Amino acid sequence: MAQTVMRALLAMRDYWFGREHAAPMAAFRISLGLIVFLDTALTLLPHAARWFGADGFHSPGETQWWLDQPGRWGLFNGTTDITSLRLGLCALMLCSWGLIAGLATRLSAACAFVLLMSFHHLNPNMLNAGDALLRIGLFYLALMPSWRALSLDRRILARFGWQADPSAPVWSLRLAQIQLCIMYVATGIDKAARFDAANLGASAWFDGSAISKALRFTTIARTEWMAWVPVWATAPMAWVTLLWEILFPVLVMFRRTRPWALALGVLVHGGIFLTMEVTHFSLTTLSFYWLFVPASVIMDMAGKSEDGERRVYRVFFDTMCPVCNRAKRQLERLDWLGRLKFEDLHDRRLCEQAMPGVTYAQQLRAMYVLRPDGQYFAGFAALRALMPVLPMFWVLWPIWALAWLPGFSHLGHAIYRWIARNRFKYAACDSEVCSLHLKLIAGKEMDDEVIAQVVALHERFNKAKAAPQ
Amino acid sequence: MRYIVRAYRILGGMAVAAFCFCHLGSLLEWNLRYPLGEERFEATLGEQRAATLHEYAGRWLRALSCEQHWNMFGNVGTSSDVPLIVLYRKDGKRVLLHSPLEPALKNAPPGGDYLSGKLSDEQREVEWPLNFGNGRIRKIEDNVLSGPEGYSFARMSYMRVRLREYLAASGASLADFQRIDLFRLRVMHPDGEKPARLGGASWVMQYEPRMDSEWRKP
Repeated sequence: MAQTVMRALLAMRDYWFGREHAAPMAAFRISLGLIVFLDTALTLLPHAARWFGADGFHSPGETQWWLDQPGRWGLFNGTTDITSLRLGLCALMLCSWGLIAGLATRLSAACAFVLLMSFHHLNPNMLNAGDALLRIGLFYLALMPSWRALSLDRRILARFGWQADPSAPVWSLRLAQIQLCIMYVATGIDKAARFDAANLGASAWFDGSAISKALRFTTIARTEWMAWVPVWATAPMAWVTLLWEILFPVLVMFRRTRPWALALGVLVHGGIFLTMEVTHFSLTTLSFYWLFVPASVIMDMAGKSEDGERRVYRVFFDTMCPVCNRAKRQLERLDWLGRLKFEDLHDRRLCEQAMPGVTYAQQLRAMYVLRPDGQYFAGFAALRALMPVLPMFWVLWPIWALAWLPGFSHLGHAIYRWIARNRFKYAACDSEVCSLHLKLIAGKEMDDEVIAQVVALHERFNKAKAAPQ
Repeated sequence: MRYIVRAYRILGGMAVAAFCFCHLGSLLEWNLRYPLGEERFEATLGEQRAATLHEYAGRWLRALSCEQHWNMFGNVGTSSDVPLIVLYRKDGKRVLLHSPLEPALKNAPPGGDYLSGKLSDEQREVEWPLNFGNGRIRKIEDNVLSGPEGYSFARMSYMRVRLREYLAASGASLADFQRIDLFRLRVMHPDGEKPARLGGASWVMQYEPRMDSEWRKP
């Protein structure tokens, strides 16, 4: 009993006070910095007089009772001098650049939080949930040592000979993660509390019409393109969304279900952003998602490790197979940042060094990808693992998100296996070695005899390649 | 020196733990109190204690600006309201100041006056506006129209801004008008076969610039 309690306490200590790589915090910082910059530059600064000025949509006395509530504070309460307010907004933009670049990071985060909160308190009438979440995000960011990764601060310190540890205490990251969970759970419970078994139509989330109604919301839905979507088509989405909101903390708690929960969230918020005008709410919420993404994925997207080493993905493919060669050429075309290194799976010494335990037979059945952190993936999972380093998928993020969802990922695995199994039928071979190779591995058990024949063929293949034309 | 470092670490850890405890406790109390039901909190803690806890949670979260209650898209309606300002001229005509969010009428004859209620359903059919970058003004207009009819600060400042903008753009004078009213105009969202259309307008408040201490000529 005592041991169990002790173990639980230690786990709790590690959960709150352990150290993790600061890359997720840095990605969160950069995303919030971009949103603060765009929000200030596009919606606040150009209309400052309208939102905050003496002749604007707000009179200083209007929210005095609200500002007077115990605990609430701000820098500009009662100020209507538009020049000072514009200077304040410029300072906020300056802080957002600090966040993006990671320059004077802690100071920038603290100042951005105080400034944004002060502007929000000047005219709370114009705020929506996205504004509240952005302000709250900046508060957590001010507590986070996000300068420890992907920042100019780090580079400047390195110039002076101090190589800062890229890992950081995680308690502030945990607070921000829990904040997002509370947001979803409170929202989900609020919706669920409207359940009335006798009258399902009383709640749009239970009769399944919520999303359809949202798409027909004339003053919020971006255009009428989606207004025709019938209730029955969106009802499953409404139920899944409600369930996902309530279960979000549980789903992100387990490593196995976390990618599904996040992928679904990316689709939900991406869908909201594309179809509805709710300012930056979706983007701000998605910024919090970085805090759940493994540091290795973020470092892979960034392209370099902290010591400046280039993070290269090694792709092991079958050089004798024309379908695999075609796939390789496609990947090379998408590899705009030069992050992929292609290796021949028939080079056994190299393969065994890189991925000990993976057999020749396994590699002949599927493409393998080795990540810089030493993890490897096969088949469809390998293709999915490549998405973070292919910039095209940063734009086509819904595909990336879909690839993680149950159902879609199973379909992906099935399609990959089918193509791999049937590549013999659809490949146009340009040499005898190629066709012999494909015939040899098509639908066969990869026993020692077959492997030996593959090796022999590969030798012929190499000789043919080396021979003068 | 070693003891000082260790003491600093322990005390720092305790401070952080206390902060996390208070913050998470406040967040949970603040966000789950209403969805789970106030009565449950009161039954568990006692009425007085529950009230005190709520008061301190509120103070804590307001000081850190984290006091948002989360209930996005709790229930999605089938209609929405936009403000409509009506200026009654002394010569008997009236001028309508439309909200930037008000969808334009599709089939109405030129000069059609939907305030009169004489338009048919087809004449109330509207073009769908492109909703992009108008989230802030929508929020302001939502706040202007929230609550029952009558005076409010938000309505006063909204009327003031819109009227000043109109007078500045048209060159008209306040003396040309005998009365200024704010109406709530209903926008019915598409429903089955029915397209988006304007519903009726209902009166909200009268605005009298001469009674508004903050009114200034444009």
